[in-house]
Amino acid sequence: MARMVLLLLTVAALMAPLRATQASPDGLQVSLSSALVKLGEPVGIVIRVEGDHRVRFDPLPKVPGLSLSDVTRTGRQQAVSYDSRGRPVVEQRTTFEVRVQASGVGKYSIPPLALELDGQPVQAPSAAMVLEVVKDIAASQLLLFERGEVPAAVYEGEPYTLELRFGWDVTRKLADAELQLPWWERQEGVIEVTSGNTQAGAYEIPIRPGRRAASIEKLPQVEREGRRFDVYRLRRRFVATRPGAVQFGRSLFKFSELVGRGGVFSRGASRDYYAPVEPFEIEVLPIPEEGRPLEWSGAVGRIEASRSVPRRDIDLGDGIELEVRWYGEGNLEFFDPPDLSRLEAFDRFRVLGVEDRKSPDERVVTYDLVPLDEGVNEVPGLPLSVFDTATKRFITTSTAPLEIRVTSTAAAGDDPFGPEEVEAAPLVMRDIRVRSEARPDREGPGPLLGVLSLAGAALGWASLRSIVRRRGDPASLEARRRRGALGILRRDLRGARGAEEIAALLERFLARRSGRSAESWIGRSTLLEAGGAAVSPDLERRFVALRRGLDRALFGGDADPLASVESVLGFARDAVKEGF
Amino acid sequence: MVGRWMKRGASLLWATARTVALMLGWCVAAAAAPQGLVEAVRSPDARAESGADRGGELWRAGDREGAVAAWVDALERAQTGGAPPAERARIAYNLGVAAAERGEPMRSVAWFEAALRAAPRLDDAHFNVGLARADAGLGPRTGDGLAESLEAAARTVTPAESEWLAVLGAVLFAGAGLLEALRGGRLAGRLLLVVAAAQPLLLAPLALHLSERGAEPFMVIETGGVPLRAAPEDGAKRVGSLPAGTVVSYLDQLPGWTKIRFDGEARWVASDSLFALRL
Repeated sequence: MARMVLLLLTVAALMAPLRATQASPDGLQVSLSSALVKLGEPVGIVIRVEGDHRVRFDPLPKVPGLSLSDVTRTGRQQAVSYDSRGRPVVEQRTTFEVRVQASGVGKYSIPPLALELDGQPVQAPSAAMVLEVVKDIAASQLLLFERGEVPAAVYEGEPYTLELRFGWDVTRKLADAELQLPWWERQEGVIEVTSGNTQAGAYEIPIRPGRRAASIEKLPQVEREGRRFDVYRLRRRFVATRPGAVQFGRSLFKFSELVGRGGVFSRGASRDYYAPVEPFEIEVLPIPEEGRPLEWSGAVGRIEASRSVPRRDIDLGDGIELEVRWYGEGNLEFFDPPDLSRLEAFDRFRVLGVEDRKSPDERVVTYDLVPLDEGVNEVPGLPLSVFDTATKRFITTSTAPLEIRVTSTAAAGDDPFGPEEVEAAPLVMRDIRVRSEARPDREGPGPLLGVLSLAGAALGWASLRSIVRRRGDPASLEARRRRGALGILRRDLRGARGAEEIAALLERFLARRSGRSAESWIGRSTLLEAGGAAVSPDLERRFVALRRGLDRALFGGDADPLASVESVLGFARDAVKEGF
Repeated sequence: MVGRWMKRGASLLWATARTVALMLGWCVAAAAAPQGLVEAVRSPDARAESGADRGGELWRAGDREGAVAAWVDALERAQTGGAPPAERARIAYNLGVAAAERGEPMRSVAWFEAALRAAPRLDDAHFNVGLARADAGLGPRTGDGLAESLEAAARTVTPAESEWLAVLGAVLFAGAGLLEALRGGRLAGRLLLVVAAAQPLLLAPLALHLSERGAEPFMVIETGGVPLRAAPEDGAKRVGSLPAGTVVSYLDQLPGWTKIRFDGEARWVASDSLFALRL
C-alpha cells in the first residue's frame, strides 16, 4: 500500500509541470477576434493578460493557408478602485494582437499559442482555435473585380499590359475603397513603363501594402445581372527584364459601404465587402540566341519606323534635322537607337548631335546631320534590328530614303545686293620659321633616376628621421636650448681675443647648459656633479684636458688662442651631441 | 625677442637653401657630363639644317613645291641623323604652313600637332594649329575639363624636362626632409608636407611621357572621319568610325592598311587617312 501511494505521488509529481504548461492560467485570455470572417476581412488573435506580468511569446505556430503577423502590443489599461474598506485596488490589463490573413476560403485550425508568463511556460487557449473564412455572398453581387487578358508568356523586354477593373453597385454609398495587391511594386526583374494614366484629372485609389495612391481611370457604367456598376480601371504596362516567371498573388478589392450617418466630427458606420482576383503568372522567355544579328540593339516587339526632315533643299554646310520616329507595341524606351557613325550609308554626312526623346508610345530620335558635299542627294534609310515577337524572329525595320538637294553656295552666284555685313579681318597664319634650331636638346637624367631619386630621398628622410629621433625630438625645448647655447658660443668665440676671454665664454656656455652660475665654473676642472645629463668619460677627459690647456694659456701664455677656440668649439659641439 | 626669432628663421632658411643648392649643383654636374659627350659625338651633317634652310629660301622665292620637297627631305635626314627635336619641329611647322596654304587643313593640323609633340612650347605652332583646326571644322585643341587642362599643361614639358622636374622634386623633398629630420618643428613639417604635396604635379609630366613611351601616335586626317574595319579589306565588316582629328595608337601595318588601337580594341584603318605624329 505504501508502495502504491509512493508510485501515485511520483506520477503526480511528474505530471505537475506538464499540467502547468498546458493549463491556461487565470488572467490570460487568448481568442480569435472573430471565428467567422469574410475573405479579406481583418481578423486577429487577441491576447489579454490581467495583472502586472512579464510576457514573452514563443514562435507562433505555422498554419497552411494562413499568414500570422508578429505579436504587437495594442493596449495597456490600468484602473484604480477602492474596496469596501477604502483601500485602493489597482487592476492592470495588457492586450496583444496577432493579425491573421487567410489566402482563401475554408476552415483553419490554429494551435494554442506558447508563451511564458513571469518565466512560467504556458499554452493558451487550451484547445485549438478554429477560423472559418467564407466568400462574401453579398460582395459577389455588389462588387465587380476582374482582370483583363494578359499573355501567358512574353519575351524578355517585351512589354505587357495589366488591367484590373473594379467597381460597385451604383446604389451603394462609398465610404472607402482600396486594392490589396501583395505583388504591387514587389516583383523583381520587372520595370513599370511610364503610363499615360498619370495625367491630371484621373482618380486615385490607395493600394496595400503601404496605401500608396495609384492613379486609375473611370470607365462607363456597366450592367451585370440586372445591376449597374460604377467601374474604374487600373492599367499599367510592364517590361520584364529577365527570363523566369512573374507572379501575381491573390488580389483583393475592398469596398466600404457607408451604412450609418456620421456626426459633425465622425464618419458614419461602414460595412466592408471584399472581392478577389485569383493568383496568376506570366512566363518570361529569353530572347533566342539563334539568328541574333550583331547589330541588334535590344528592340523587342512590333515596331515600325517613320522619318521626316523639316527642310530638304539646303546649302552646303547647312544641317539637316533628321527626325526618326519608332512606334508600335514594343520596348520603345529601352533599345539603343542606331549609331550613324557605324553605318556606311551615312559616310557622306557628319553627325553633329543626337537628341533622344522617349515615351511609352513612341521613340523619337533627331539626328543633326551635315552633308559633306553637294553630291549628296538623299538621306539613306535608317535600319533598326528588332526581335519581332509576332513572328518570333529578328527582322530589320528601316525608314525609307529621303531625297534632298544640297547646293554649293559658290555655285549660287554673287549676291546682287552685296554682303550685308563687313566681315572682320580673318586671322592669318604665322609665317614659316627660317632660322634653324641647331641648339641641341638637353638630355634628361633618365626617368629611372627621376623616380629613384625621389624614392631615395623619401627613404633617406625616413631613415635619418628615425636615427635622429632616437636621441630625442630635435624640436624639443631642451634641444633648441642646447643648439641656442652652442650658437651663442660660436658667435661669441668669433670675436674672442685672448685665453681669458675664451675661458669666460666657455664658463658662460657651461653655466647656460648646467643651470649654475658662470662663477661656479671658474677653475672647475670636472663636469661631474654639474647637473643635467650624465656625461661620458671621454667627454670628461676632454673637458679636463681643455681646462688644463686654457689654464696654461691663461697663466703660462704658451698656447695658441686660435687652437683654444677650435678645441672649445669642438668640445661644446660634442657636449651638445651627448645631450649636455 | 621678435628680432631673435627672425634671425633664427633666417638662419634656418639659409641652411635649407644652401643644402638644396648644393644637391642641385651635384645633380646638374652629374647630368652635364653625358650631355657634353653626346654633343661631342654628334655629327654636324646630322642636323639637317641646310635642307631646311634651302626650303626657306625656295619658299621665299615662291617655289612652294620645291620648298616642301626640301623640307620633307630635310625632315627625313633629321630623323635618321638624330637632329634635335626643336629642329624637327621647325621643319614640321613649316610643312604645316605649306599644307594650310595648299588648302589641306587636316594635314596642316597634323603637321602642327607633330611639331608640338616635338617642341611643346613652339608658340607659332600653337597659334597656327588653332587656325588650322578651325579651318578643318574641328573644335579647340584642348577641352575645358580639369583633366584635359592638366594634361595640356603636362604636355608643355618635353620628356627630358619632365625627368629633370622629377629630379627637382626629389631634391626639394630631400632638402625639406633633411630640415625636418634634423631640426623638426612645425614649420619644417609643414614645409615637407607642401613639398610632398607638390610631388604629383612635378611627376605628372614624367608619368604622361612614360605612359606614351614607345607608342606611335597617328592622327585621322580624313575629313568626315574614317571607318574602322575588323580586317584589312574594303569589304570587311565595319565596326565603327573615327572622326577627323582623333589620335590613335599604331599597332601594325599591311600594304594600304594600318592596324590601330582604339578603345582598347585592335582595328584596321586605311593608311592614307592616317598621319604619323612622331617626328
